[in-house]
This record gives sequence, structure tokens and C-alpha cells, in this order.
Amino acid sequence: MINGIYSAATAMQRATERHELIAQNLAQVNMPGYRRLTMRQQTFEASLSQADQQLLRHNSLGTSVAQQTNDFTQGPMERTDSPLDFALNGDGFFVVEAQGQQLYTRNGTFQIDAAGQLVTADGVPVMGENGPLTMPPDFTPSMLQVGADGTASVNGVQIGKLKVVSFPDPHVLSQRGVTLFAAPSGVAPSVSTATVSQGTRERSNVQPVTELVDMISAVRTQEAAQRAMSTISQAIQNYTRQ
Amino acid sequence: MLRALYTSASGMKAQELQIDNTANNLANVNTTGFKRSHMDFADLLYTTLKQPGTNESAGQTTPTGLQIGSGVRAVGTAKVFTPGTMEQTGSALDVAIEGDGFFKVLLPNGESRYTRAGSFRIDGTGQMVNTDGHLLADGITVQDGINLTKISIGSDGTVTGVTEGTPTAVTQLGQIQLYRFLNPAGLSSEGSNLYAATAASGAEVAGVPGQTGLGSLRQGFLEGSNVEVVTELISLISAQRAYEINSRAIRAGDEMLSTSADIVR
Repeated sequence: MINGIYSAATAMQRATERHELIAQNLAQVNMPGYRRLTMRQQTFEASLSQADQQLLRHNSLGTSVAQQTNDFTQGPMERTDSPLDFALNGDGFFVVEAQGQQLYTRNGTFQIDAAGQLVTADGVPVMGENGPLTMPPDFTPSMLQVGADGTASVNGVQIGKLKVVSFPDPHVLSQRGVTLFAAPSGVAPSVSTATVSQGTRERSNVQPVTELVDMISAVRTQEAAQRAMSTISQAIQNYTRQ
Repeated sequence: MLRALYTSASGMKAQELQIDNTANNLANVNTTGFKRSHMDFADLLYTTLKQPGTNESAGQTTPTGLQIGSGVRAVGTAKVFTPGTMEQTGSALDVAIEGDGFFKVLLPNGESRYTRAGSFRIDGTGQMVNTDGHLLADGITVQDGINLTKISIGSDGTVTGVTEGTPTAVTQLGQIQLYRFLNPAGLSSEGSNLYAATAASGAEVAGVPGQTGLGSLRQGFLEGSNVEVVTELISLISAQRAYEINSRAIRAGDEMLSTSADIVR
């Protein structure tokens, strides 16, 4: 019976973790290129090895978090007409390089730094096919033209091509920060067929309705588990007082 | 769970900034040469609860790890330098820039500021100044006897005046130059429609209007604000709703905390 209390406790714990995840998604509801986080739960036993499972065959120990992944469905497109806003239509990521590591993002709200490089809002250089894209000295943003294939030209002179890559299964990527993703070692990106659209930004793919429904469910799951726990606790109390 | 409360609070704060920014844009919907600004939000670091790829038990590794972020942070507001609408004013000293570039004016202390509000006047000493009385850096002086209504400013910035008399004489008064920056979004807004150069914007590059990618001048016109009311209202609505949703998340978190507190009575 005591086991039941622990099972209920894990259920409460999972519900609060789900709420944390939902809060995170809702906080980023207006963040361009944000990919919502989802959580999959599993029975606690499933997270154990075979041998451990044998030992615990007759007990149920509650739930554990199996996996936290991002949902990579495309978000809605917003037209901004800013020459430094880019969105990707289709599967793919822009490539940025932070501290020597290649990271991937769908947040294409870029800027030009004082050295003339195309950078993200955080100042991380955006990669072209041949390294960072550097603008000529007499550049102003309205001169930049980027075609659907990512070819960037300034006043008709080609300066490079935005690097756009894709992954057969983007779910292997792990989130770094909010809109940046890192690939695990051994997973190489492939060429993407996504088209680049200048003057557009991709909004967050968080849907407030879904998140709010999930939130209600998390709150009530936690409440139900708490009720179960107090019922068991009461049963134990009755038993010990007999 | 407390972390969720702070995450939602940061989401609310970000939306507040967004609303402040939208309000400022809307307030300046009729300001000459005003450029709307937009908020940029940056990544916040993640608290790693479980590292991806760590050992779970007996040779199993976690595929993705458990990381929960701690919210949103605004990195800054960037001005959007898209052109505003051209309004005809008929005043000889109103000049709009069609394309890229800024006028340069000098503050009383000699510092340079840049502006796209081309509404100029002539001060008591005949010098061309902006509406706040700051001198146009190109030093254009109108001598006595020149009819102010007959000053002409060419699309390339040459300023000529007509002296009354018979016959009338045409005098060259000077040349207005335009200045531009590698990263105009990095200019710092100094109020009164003036911008100052910063390390992020790069140094000024001077040029003749209409050449090397600079815009050309149009006399008798003023550039209106580039704020689009509809876009701003939509961003206002979306910020307001996001604010509301984040506050609901706080309430839910509060409810869950109270449920937990009820375990022990």
C-alpha cells in the first residue's frame, strides 16, 4: 500500500514537470522560430534495465519522463518586409556558428553587426555555403536581396549563399537556448529543399489552446494523484488505529 | 514548479516590453521621419535537469535529456528603416529622402546626430537648421536678399537661391550631403527624431544624394512615419493575449502548489 503513495507522488511530480514545460511554451508564444516542447511519459519500470524489471515485477512504481522533444511542425508566417528577416518554407534550418560549434535554427530574424557580418539577434554569425556572409563596406540593409534558393546579392552582385540544411529526423536535435539546436555527434545534416523567403519571419508554433488544455489536464492530474495519495494515507491511518 | 512561475513571469515581462514598444510606435504615427522599432528576444540559458546522453542504468542512455528553460529575455529594440509615406507640404525647406541615408545635424556642443526628418528652417543668422534649431552639418547659409520661397534643393542636394532684382541672379548656396551606416538598426535613438552613431552601427559614410546607393532628395515633401497602425494593433492584441495566457499559467502553477501543500493537513 505504501508503494501507492510513491506512485502517486511520481504522478504529481510528472504533472508539475508538464506544467513547467507548458509554462515555457507559453512564455515563448511570440518568439519567432520557437519550436514547442513536448514530453512523453512512460511507466517507471520501462526506464529500468531488464534485470531491475524482473525484481520489480509485482510492483507498480509510477511514471517517469521518457523523452522531451521538440515539435518541428512549421509555424505560421508573418510578413514584416524587413530585408533582414528570413523564413524557411519546408523542412530545414539556418546554420549559425557559436564558439566553433555549428548550431541550427529556424529563427531568421537576423542583423548586421558593425563588421558587416550577418548575425542573429544574439550576435552569432550566420553561415553561408562558404563561411559567414559579409556585406561590402558601402552596404545598407535595403540593398540585400536573397532569392528562394538562399543566394544573397547586394546591388545585383552575389556575395554568397545562405546555408540551409535539413535532418532526416530533426527530433535527434537537442535544444540550446530557445531557438537554437545542436546535432548529436555523428549526425550530419543533408541538403534541404526548403525555400528561403526574405521579409518574412516564422512565428512560434505554440498554439495557446493546445497548451491551455494540456495545462488544465496537468493541474487536474496532479489533483487526482493528490486525492489518491490522501485516500491511501487515510486507509493506512484507519488500519493502524484498528 | 516555482521555476514555472518565474518562466511565466518572464513571459509576462517580455509582453509588457512589447506593449510599451507598440505604444511608442503608435504614439508616433504622425511624427515626421519616425521609424518604428521592434523587439528582439534572445535565448535564455537552460537549466539542465538531466544531461542528454547520460547513463540511466545498465548501459542505457537517455536519448534527449530533460532541459527546462527559464523564460524570455529582450535583447533590444531595433529600428526598422523602411521608407515612410511621402507627404507633400509645399514648403521650400522641407526635404524628404527617397531611399537610404540620413541628414547630419550638429548639437550645440558640436556632436553629430543623424535624422530623417527633413523639415528645415532658416535661423536669425541665415543658417539652415532643423525644427529644434540644430545646425545642418553641411553649413548652408542663406545670404540677405534671397527670397526664401525661391530656394531650390535639387535631387542631388545642391541648394540654389534666387536674388531679387533685375535681372534675377542665381546663387549656389551649398550642397546637402547624406550619411549612411552599415547597420542602421544599431544606431542609438536619442529622442527628437535624432540618432547617434554607435560601435554597433559602424562609422558614417558620407555621399552625394542619389549616388552610391544613397537616396535622392525631394523638395517640398516630408517623410511621414513608417508606423502601420494595423500591424501595430495586431502586435498589441497578440502581446496582450500572450500576457493573459502567461498569467493563467501562473494561476495554474499556484493551484498546483496549493494542491501539493494539501497533502499534509
